[in-house]
Amino acid sequence: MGIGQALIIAASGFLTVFLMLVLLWVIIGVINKVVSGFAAKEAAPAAPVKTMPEEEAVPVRDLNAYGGELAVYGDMDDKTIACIMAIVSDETKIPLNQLIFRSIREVQ
Amino acid sequence: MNILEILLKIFQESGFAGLVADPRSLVMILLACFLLYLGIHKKYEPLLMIPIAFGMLLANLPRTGITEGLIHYLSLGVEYGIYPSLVFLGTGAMTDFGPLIANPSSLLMGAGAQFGIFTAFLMALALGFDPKVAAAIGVIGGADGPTAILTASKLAMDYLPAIAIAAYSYMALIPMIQPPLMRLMTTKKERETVMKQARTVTKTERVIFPIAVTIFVILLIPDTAPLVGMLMFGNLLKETGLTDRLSDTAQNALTNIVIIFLGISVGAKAAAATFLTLRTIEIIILGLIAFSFSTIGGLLLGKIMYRVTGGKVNPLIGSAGVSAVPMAARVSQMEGQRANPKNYLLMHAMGPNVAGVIGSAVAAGFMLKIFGG
Repeated sequence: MGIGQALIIAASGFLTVFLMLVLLWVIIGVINKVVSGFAAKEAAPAAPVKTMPEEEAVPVRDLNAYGGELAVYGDMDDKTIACIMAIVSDETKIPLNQLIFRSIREVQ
Repeated sequence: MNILEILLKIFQESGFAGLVADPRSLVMILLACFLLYLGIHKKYEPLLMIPIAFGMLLANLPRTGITEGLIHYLSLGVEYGIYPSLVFLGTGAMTDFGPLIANPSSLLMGAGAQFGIFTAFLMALALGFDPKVAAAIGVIGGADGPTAILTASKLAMDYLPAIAIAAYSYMALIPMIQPPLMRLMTTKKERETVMKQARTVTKTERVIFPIAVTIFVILLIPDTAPLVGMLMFGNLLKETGLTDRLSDTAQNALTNIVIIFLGISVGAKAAAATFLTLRTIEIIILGLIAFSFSTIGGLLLGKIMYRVTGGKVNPLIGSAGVSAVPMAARVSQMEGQRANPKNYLLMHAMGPNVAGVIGSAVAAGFMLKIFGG
């Protein structure tokens, strides 16, 4: 195989990978738009019917979301907090994204 | 026949006499023991290194006939590309594509990190390797063992053990190979970049994603079907939430069984005649080059993303694009925290990391398409 042909194959291979992954980027964007559109449509008619007073409303939690706020009482670094959360998840067999930690208190 | 003659006959038909007749087998046995040492004592990818090394040991013990019996039939799974695809099924069932869906620009870094595949391909050609073999060697740069094995089984069966061992050794050495390159390629300011939390991903998106990827990727490059198809099938089993038993089997029992068969079969292909050559050393070196260039490619894309987004993307996550899930993402996390203890890059790095799995499968599919599977 000549050097020119080898370079063309390598360049077109790299380009193919790029184009494919850019295409996936577009697909993910489309999926997001479609899903958000459907979610907005479903939410729209339900809006006027309020079954719960404002103060009692419970925030909707996405089971796949990671994040939130955590109150920490005591002298603990982030690594320790992460370890505690991982251990609780492991012991309870509940995935971390389905657990809500409101606070962690250090017991002396 | 006296006792001495019987003992002599036993010795003459023993493996020891075989070792005397062909001392290269002894070298292979010692090499297998060294790989066992790496797997057991050094913990270099033990789940695969130990079966590969033991397969090598079994196949090189003279006069056993095992390679015509048990090993021959187990090896059919490698020759037909069944085991790597089944490993991908398990990988898909274990993989969370959420970080990638939340931040699809990660795909660019996953693509950039395939740079090493094509660099190593060119270098292998320059060293005089056959184009098919050069393509299989290049795929080591994808840092994805099953993909490297599948490509080698179709394009370079004689070099399969060397390619597999190189791929898994370097995957185990990622914490040593990548950090110096990461520090070399990025400034301290770039490494300190704290990334903001990605958006949440709905279950609907997670379910549609593997179906859409299967359709579009396989339609464009049909040769990716065994890898991408199984990867996405495994992921769909996980994400639907309706097939937990199947997902659990794919993640655990099936993957474990296949890894045993795969490792033993690959190791057993390491025959002295093809393995104890200069070519093996060249493959090992090219593998390292491939890994390094893939890391550099991912980091370069990371730096471009850093510039384009006005400093919102930490370029360290780019190196995670070399698949090797989740090791490469962990390295990004460690390096990020070394630069800034408040940095938590793991989830962000998982995006390029899983994009790299798809990227390396696409690159392997491209090589199979061009050089014929």
